Parts: sequence; structure tokens; C-alpha cells
Amino acid sequence: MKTLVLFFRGLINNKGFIYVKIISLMLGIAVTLLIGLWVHDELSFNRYHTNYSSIAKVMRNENVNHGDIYTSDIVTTGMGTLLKDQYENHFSGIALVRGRVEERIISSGEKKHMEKGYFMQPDAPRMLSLEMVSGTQNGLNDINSIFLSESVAHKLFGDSEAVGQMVKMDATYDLMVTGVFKDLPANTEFAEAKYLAPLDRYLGDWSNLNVWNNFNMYLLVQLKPGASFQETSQTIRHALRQHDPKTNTELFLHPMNRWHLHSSFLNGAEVSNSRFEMLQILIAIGFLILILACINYVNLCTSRSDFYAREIGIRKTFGSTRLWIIRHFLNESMLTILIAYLIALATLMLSLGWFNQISGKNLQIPWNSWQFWTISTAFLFIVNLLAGIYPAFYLSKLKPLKAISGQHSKTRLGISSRELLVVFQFTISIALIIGSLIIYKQILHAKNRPVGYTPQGLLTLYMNTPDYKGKFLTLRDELKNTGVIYEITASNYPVTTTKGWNSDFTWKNQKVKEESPSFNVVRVSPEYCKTIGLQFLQGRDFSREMKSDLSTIIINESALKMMELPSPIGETINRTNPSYNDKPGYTILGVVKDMVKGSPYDPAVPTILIPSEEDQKHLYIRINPAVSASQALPKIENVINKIVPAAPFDYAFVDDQYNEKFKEEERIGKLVSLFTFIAIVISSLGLFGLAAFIAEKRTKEIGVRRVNGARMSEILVMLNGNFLKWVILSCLLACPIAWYAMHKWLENFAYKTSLSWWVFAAAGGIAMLIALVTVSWQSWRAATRNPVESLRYE
Amino acid sequence: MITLKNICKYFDNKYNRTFILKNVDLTVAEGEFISIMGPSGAGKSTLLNIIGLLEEPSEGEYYFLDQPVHKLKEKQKTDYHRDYIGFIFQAYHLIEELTVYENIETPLVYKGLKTKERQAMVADLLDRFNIVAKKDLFPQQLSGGQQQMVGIARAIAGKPRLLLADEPTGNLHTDQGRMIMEMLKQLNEEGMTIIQVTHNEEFAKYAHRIVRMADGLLFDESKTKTASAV
Repeated sequence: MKTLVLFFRGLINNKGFIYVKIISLMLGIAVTLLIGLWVHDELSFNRYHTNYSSIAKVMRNENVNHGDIYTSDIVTTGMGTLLKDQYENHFSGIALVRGRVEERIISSGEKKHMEKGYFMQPDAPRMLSLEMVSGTQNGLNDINSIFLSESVAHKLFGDSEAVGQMVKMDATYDLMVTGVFKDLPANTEFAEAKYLAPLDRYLGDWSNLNVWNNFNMYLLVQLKPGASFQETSQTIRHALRQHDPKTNTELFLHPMNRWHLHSSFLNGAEVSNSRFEMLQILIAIGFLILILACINYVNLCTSRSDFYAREIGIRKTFGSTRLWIIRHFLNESMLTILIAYLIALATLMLSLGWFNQISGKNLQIPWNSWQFWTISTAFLFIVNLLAGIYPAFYLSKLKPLKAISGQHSKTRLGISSRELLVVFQFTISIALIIGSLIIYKQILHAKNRPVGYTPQGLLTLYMNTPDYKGKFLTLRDELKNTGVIYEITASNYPVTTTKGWNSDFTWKNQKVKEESPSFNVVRVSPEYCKTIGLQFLQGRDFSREMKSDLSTIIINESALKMMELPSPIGETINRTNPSYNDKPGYTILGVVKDMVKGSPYDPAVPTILIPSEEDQKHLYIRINPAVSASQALPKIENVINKIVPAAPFDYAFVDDQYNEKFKEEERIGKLVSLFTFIAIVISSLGLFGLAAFIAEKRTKEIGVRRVNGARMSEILVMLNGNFLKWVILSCLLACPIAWYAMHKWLENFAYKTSLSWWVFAAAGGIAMLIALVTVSWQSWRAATRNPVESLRYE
Repeated sequence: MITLKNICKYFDNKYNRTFILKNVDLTVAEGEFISIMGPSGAGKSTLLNIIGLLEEPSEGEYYFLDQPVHKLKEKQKTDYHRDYIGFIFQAYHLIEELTVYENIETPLVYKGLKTKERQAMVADLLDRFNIVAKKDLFPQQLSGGQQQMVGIARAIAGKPRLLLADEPTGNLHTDQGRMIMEMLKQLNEEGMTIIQVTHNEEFAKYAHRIVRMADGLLFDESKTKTASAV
């Protein structure tokens, strides 16, 4: 009670920089809370599913006996059927799920929407404990059934009952809605699912449940109660030998609780994935920022010890024990921390929406969770240990006599240990500044990379509807007639991905290698290079008029490098294993510059473009540069609605898609710079307090110097020079740490920026500028004080 | 009550030893009022601090109520501060964040008294020192004399048997000084043992006995008229 009264008197009088302490702690606590929420979100991933701890994916290790092991969670339907038939009694549930989200047009009457969803065997909804709004979990038994998410059901049918209604998929299949499920929360594996359809529907008439060479499925299993993942992994390890006795592929279970953060494998061993690394980085940053904030508290308390010393001395002379004083200071720090915590909560509440936007998360303060409040309370005590214990013991140790007579302040050691802490703070801040600069430099570096084509003004549409078949040329003619487009093309894979790989190519003087090289193979309409904007190095483009061009290909620089052909034009490339629509041999017609298809940080992929007679589904439309997009879009929509009425006009701009590739790194950049900013603010507040303390301490010295003729500028230089010394020391310490850390980070990228010296210099410069601005105010005040006034104090 | 035998206090430098107190012997009986006088640097305050257990002698023995207190540990000293010794300082040393009432209450809190008891005792003291009206003010709002009154009230709140005053009138006008000295005299008459350090001959004479010091040595003791009057 007493402490409370004293505390609020202190608040009113700004005793001992109480506001600086509160703001520092508030920032530290807010960051820690935020990162705590993040960690909780990541760790609770998939926990939505009731069977969280008994579900696993069946994964395969290929090539176990020789050389590099390749691990994948994608299996064939054959594998799934084998396990289901032979091992069913080991599991309480087993289901194949299409190993990728599938976009389909779901329509009802006039309403049609492109939706993402999964195809799965009937057992899966029960295993995933799908929450049914209506219908039952086992409603996917019929090939012509479908589950819709609550949101999609609402979009299609409004408030009326969806179960029992018919919907059309891709304008082809009539499916009956047999269930409506609650949309899955964002932090689950299948969160994107807006519909769930039977796997049989996906396989349809082109595939079946006993295929062994097409890897396209997840295989989910649910263990029986009491069974362990490890033992069951052992049981199924050699299951594939029943199909092929000589196989080098082994199976194992990957439990659901490891999917999110431990989904990377290197040579068969689980290694941390990028999310887990991000989590570690965040935890480290959060911990450091909390330490920075606590250092401020410690520094401000101990540097103001003269201020406290007299009071402590008096109390001790009147019979206070050390314990009492320790308790008093711990109470005081606890109160400060509590207030900082409340402000931090309020700040978080206000800024969480904004933070979620830049981090792509969906974090919320769990106001109603008692665990949250318990952990918060424990956390506050820990912060009190970090921030409060040292000052309490340090200050309570003061000898009463020395404290009263002010002799205590003469200790040199006290100052240098505080200097050390400030150096530590600035080392962390400078290292973080360097980190943020390098991250942005890397992003810019990748953004400035030549793309190899022109994403601007390029529109893309996915034609996943059967009534598009055979209409490409009509579409092209009609669109060109509008005058708003320059050219249109179609390909089987998007230009912004590296889908589609083949390795059955041979050519003249090919060097024999253990593995035949793989190429990214894209089937395109003859207008592809022209529409996309590829740049020719040699040879010429496809021409629709010349039928002979159908047996030619265009390759890119990387592919040429791989083939090592001195004069590629006219050379023949053969296929050893042509599929039904391939020709056994092609002639090279042209060579184009490399294009960035996958990650902008990865090397360009060797690409082969094959002209296709079929109508491919990915449309690319180059808008006439003389026409604005807003004028062109309605006209394009008109044409498409007229010719392919079943296709929704869900267009995207390729430059937007291209920029998506930078999102992850931009997100990291934003987060790191946010935390860097907070670290700098905390460190500056600490420095500000310390500068005030030192200026005060040297009041007399400054007075004497001025009486003896020192100019104000000289005193400013003297005071500021001292601080600059520390910042320079911090720079020297921060540079190697940051260099090492960022060197490690850049190793993640093949196309990477350099760790230029100027980044380090700039970070040091920024830190120095901030430090100067912070301390100058105090120095200036001390230097301009009338010496008579400062000397009278003695 | 107090017996000092051969008390020395010195600091060792590289080449020589600087004495602040040299072979001081002093006996103080219960109920006495003593003034210690001497020029600056004579060691008066150091002697007082040693008696008050704020400083330790480098050599010598110190018996307080027949206990060898030079052997005490920090913790036990705290008990003495709590129960036997009160302090008054030249600079008052009131706690600025506390009101007059709370300042006086401080020693009672450390003694572990209940709120009710403390309230009664502080009320008595406020009454006695005539500062009831000022009880909610902060030290900065009082004059020097008033602050020292609060200082005395605080010093005797815990009912100590020994009151140590280090130049209690040093910062005050003569009138205010006299007021303080009258108060000390009155306390002494009620039975409290008092030792004060002072520069002022007039105020020194309030005591029974004046001890004069120079260069760390006790060199003169004289009874005052006050003493003969008793």
C-alpha cells in the first residue's frame, strides 16, 4: 500500500526517470507479448483437429541404400491402396487426399465461383474432425457428392439450406451437396479448403486407385489408441516390397504435430524448416529486446543511485534492514512493470490489426484464456527478476553513512559497468540495423534482377472449363478485333512457376552423366514469346503460318548452357520417352534470354518451349500499350463471356503475381525493421537517461572548466565525444556479429546480394546520428548552464 | 552506558597512515548530555558516527550498554538502530517523498508496530512538537527550523535511549537554534542520553559536559554550568 502511494507520488514528480523506465519496459513487454502470441499461434497449428496427436502423413524415403535420400510426402494411389489393404488393422483411419489444393469452378444456376478445395477419400472428414454445420462427416461416399464450407454455401445459396442442393463443378459434373462444414481456422493445414470432394471424382476416368508412377497424393492415417508413431513407422517401413521386392523406397509416418515446423528433410533426416527458423529468429529478437528494456531499468536505477542513496541511508540509520529495502525496490519495480504491461496490452490491442497485416498472421489477444493470464503473471515476475533484482541488491548494499554523505557517487566502477551495458544495447541495435539493411538490399537486388520477359501489362486467366476446348483461335481473333490487346497466347503451365519437368532429352555429343538432366518443359501456343516478351539471342520465334514449326523448340540460355551446343540453331533434340502428343525429335528454332520463373532468388531454370496444337489452359493477354487497363478489361470480359460463358473472369496481372514472390522476404524485412526500430528507441531512451546522469554528475567539472575559459563548443565536444566512443565500440562489436548472421541468412539464396562495406558504415552512421541527437540535448543544457549556479552546489 | 577504549580510526595510504581518531577514551553515563567541540577535521563527526554504529573503528573497543558492539554484525547493528539510537543531522535528512507524518512514522514501521499504535504515537509527537497542522506537508514546504523539529520528532519516535546529533543547528538561525537546543535539553531532562557535535559555544553549554577535540585527539573535558546546576 505504502509502495503504491510512493509510486504514484513518483509518477507525479517524474522521480528517477520513471516515464523513461515505463516506456522502455512497455516496449520490451509489448514485443515479447507479440512474439509470444506468434509462438503460440505457430505451436497451436493444426491443434484444431481433435485427433491432432494421432494423425500422421505417410512419407517416403527414396533411394535409401545408395547416395542421397530424397524425402517426400507425396505418394501414389497404389501405395495408398496397398497400405489400406494390407495394414488397415494398424490404423483406425486411412485416407488418400489429393496432394495439392485444386481450384475448381463451383456453380449453382447463374452463380459461379472459382474455389479452392481438396479431393479426399470418405474417411478423411471424420479423421480431421470436420465441424459439420449440416450433414454428416461420412457424406463423401458417393462419387457425385460434395461438401461446401459455410462461407461458400452462403455465397451460393444464401440463408437457405445447402444440403440436398445440386452444384456444378467446372460446368461438367453435377454434384449433390451432402454436408456443410465450418470454414477451417487459418492456422490449420487445410485452411484453404472451401469445398471437399470425393477423391474418386478427381481420379474420374483418367486414373484409378492402383497407379504406381504418378505421385500426386497425400496419405493420411490415424493411429489406434495407444499405438506409437515410431513403432507403426517400423511396421510399414518395408511395405512397398510387397509391390516391388527390389525397391529402395521406405515408408515412415510424419506426425501431424510436426507438419508445420518440421517439414523439411535432408538426406532422410528431419531438419528445421523456414518457418521454424523464422520462429527462432523472432524468439531471439524478442528476448534481446526484453533484455534491452530491462537494461534501461537497471541502468536508470543504478545511475540514479545518488538520488536513492540518501533515502536509503536515512532509512538504514533508523533501523531499516537490507531485506526491507530490497523488498521496497522490488515492489516498486513490480509496480512499474505492471503499469508497463497494462500499457503494452492496450498498445497491442490497438496495433494488432496493423501487425497482422504486415506479418500475414491472424493473431488475437486471448482475453478469455486463463492460461494467457497465468503465463502473463509468471512472465511479469520473470521480468522483475531481470530488471528489478540487480538494482534492489545494488542499492540496498549502500552503506548508510556513505550514502548520506554522498561519498558513494565517487566510484568509477559504477559508471563503467553502465557504459558496458549501453555498449551492449547499441551493439544489438547496430547489428539489427545492419540486418534490416541487408534484408532490404537482398530484396532490391532480386527485384532489380532482369526478369527475362515483361510482366507489366500482361493479364492471365485460367480456363478450367470444358467449353473452352477448341475455342482458343476464335477467342484470339475476337479479342484482337477489339483492338485493346496486342497479342494472346496459352500455355499448359504458368510463366510464374517452374511446374513441368522432363528428363528424357538427348542431343548431339551429350556428355554422359549419372543422372540425365531435367528441363522445365512448357507447351505453348506459337504466340508465346511475342506475348510474354521474351528476348531472342539466336534464331527466330515460332510462326503459326509455318506448320513445320510444330516440330521445333525454343530453349533458354540455361538450357543451352546445359546442352553445351556451340551452334544450337538447327540441332536436333530427341526424346527417349515421348508421351502421346510428343514428337520423337525436335529442331532448335531459337534461343531466348533466361527468365525468372520460380523464386527470384534461385538460379534460372533450363527451359524448353514446345509449340502445342492443343488449346492450353493458361491464357496470357498482352494489353495494347496504347490502351489503359481499365478500358481494356471490360472489352476482354465481354469477349470471354460471349465465347466461353462458363468461365468466370478471374483475371490476374502477371506483375502482381511476380511481386508475390517477394512477399515472404518483404514480410521478414518489415518485421525485422519494426523490431530494429523498437530496439533503437529503447537504446536511445537508455542513452538519454545516462546522458542526463553524466551531465549532472559533471556539473561541477563543467562549471570549473567554464570559469577557466572553456568555450561551450569545447564542452559539447568533450561530453559528446565520450558517448561517440561507446557507439564506435558498439559498431566494432556489432559488425562481425551481423556479418556472420547475415552471411548465414544469405546462404539461403542462390541469387544473393553482397555484404558491402557501406551497409556496415551506414548502420554505424545511423547509430551515431541517433546517439548524438539523444545526448546533445543534455550536453547542451549542461554546457550552457551558468557556472556560478553549478558551483554553488558545493 | 558508553565506554570507548583506545579507539583509533585511520586510513592507510601507500606510504603513511592518516589518523582521524587517535587513542580516544570516553565514557558516557546514562542520562548525560555531552557536547563535542573542535575545529573542522578534528574527527568529531567520525567519533559520533562510531558511537552511532555508522562507522567502525580501525582499532579499539566500544561497549554500549556493556555489550562489545565493535564486534557486531551488520544485522545486529540494525537492531541497535531500531531500538536504542536516534539520529539528528545538520541537513535534517528528511525523506523528500514522504510527508511530515510519514517521516516521523518511519522508525516505528521498522520496529514492526501496528498501524493503530503508530498512529497514536505519531499523534503524540505531532502534538508535542506543535506541528499537527503540518502533518500532511512535504519537507520542502517547511522552514529549516520546522524541518529540524520533524527530524527530532522522527529521531525520538522510536523511544531511543541515546540521541546523537551532528551539528543539529548548523543550518539554522540563532533563534531557531535556541528552540532546537531547548527541545534537546527538555528531552535530556526526561532521561534521554544525548551527544551532540557543535561549533557553537553557546549551544555547547546546554550540555553537562563539553569534550574538545583537535587532530583526532581528545584533549579537554570540562563541566558546564548546566552540569553544576543539576
